[in-house]
Amino acid sequence: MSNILRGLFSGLTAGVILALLYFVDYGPGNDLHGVARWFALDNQDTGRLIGFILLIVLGALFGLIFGALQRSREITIGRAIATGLALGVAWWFIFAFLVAIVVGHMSLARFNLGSFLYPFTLCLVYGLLLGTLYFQSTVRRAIKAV
Amino acid sequence: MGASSTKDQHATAALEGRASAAPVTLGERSLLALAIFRIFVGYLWFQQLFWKLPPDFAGLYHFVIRETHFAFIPGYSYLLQHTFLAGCTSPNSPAGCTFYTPMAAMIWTAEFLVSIGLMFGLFSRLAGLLSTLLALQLYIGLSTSEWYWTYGMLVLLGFALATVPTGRRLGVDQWLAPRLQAAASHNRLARWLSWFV
Repeated sequence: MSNILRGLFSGLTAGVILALLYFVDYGPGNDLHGVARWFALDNQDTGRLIGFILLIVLGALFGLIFGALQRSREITIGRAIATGLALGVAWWFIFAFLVAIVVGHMSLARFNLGSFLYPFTLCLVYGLLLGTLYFQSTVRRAIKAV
Repeated sequence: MGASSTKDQHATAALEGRASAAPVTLGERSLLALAIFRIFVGYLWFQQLFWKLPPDFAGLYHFVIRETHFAFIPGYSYLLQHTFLAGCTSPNSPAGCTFYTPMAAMIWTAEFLVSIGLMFGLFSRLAGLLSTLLALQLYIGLSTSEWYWTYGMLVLLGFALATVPTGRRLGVDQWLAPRLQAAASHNRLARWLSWFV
């Protein structure tokens, strides 16, 4: 249970950092429209806010999955990073690609280096943050226990 | 009495000196804050990849031309015009330029490596060093065309990240650093690489 809670906390924190990264642009936050568009929820007034919240909710969801995957095994930094990055790729494939095509009606014709690289790299950054934050919380807990 | 007092003063001065020169150890929160700082600086570089995307790197051309007008080092403009911009016929389009595309590809790749290195904390000090060099080039070429501290700050950001091992939290360097340090005693390459994590 504590693994799942720690996963949730790490995922939430990583999701907030990711949402803040998306927020920093000329808009500010124009790229958050793109996140809302994955789910066909974008509109001029609230699209950015929806995108911001979606990133945090998805971050928490993948954090829960990360925690559940750990079970009672002792985590190492290598495994935490590898699992986090794998979940980052899964996020990109499921939401930024599949859901964006099926639900958000993203055209494959618009798919190019730029439209791939931007969300894919940020999903990987989320995965890395998730893994390393989870590992840090485990280390902190172990130090407190000693 | 006088000699004893002088001895005490020396001892106190030595103790104070030792205490003030002791290595500074950063707490966990400071390290995490620095790691987040590193990720945002990496993101700064990452965002700049998208207005000069391959294969034509067209967005960059305008800024290379601007560098030929604003560079403050004598001869820098001449160098650009007779190497990377050789054969260029228009100030608006890189059509006809012989070496523009290879140069732009090198710049794009370097900025890509900097952004990946900083955002993922992968050889983060090397990425900081490379970003310092890239920013220095921008400072030379463009600082007189805008508020000069814009590029000055970019140089300083890179320099700060080259001096502190920020990738050892929230970064791949956290996994890499102990392995490189363990191998450094019997492997010269590992010793060199361990300087950059």
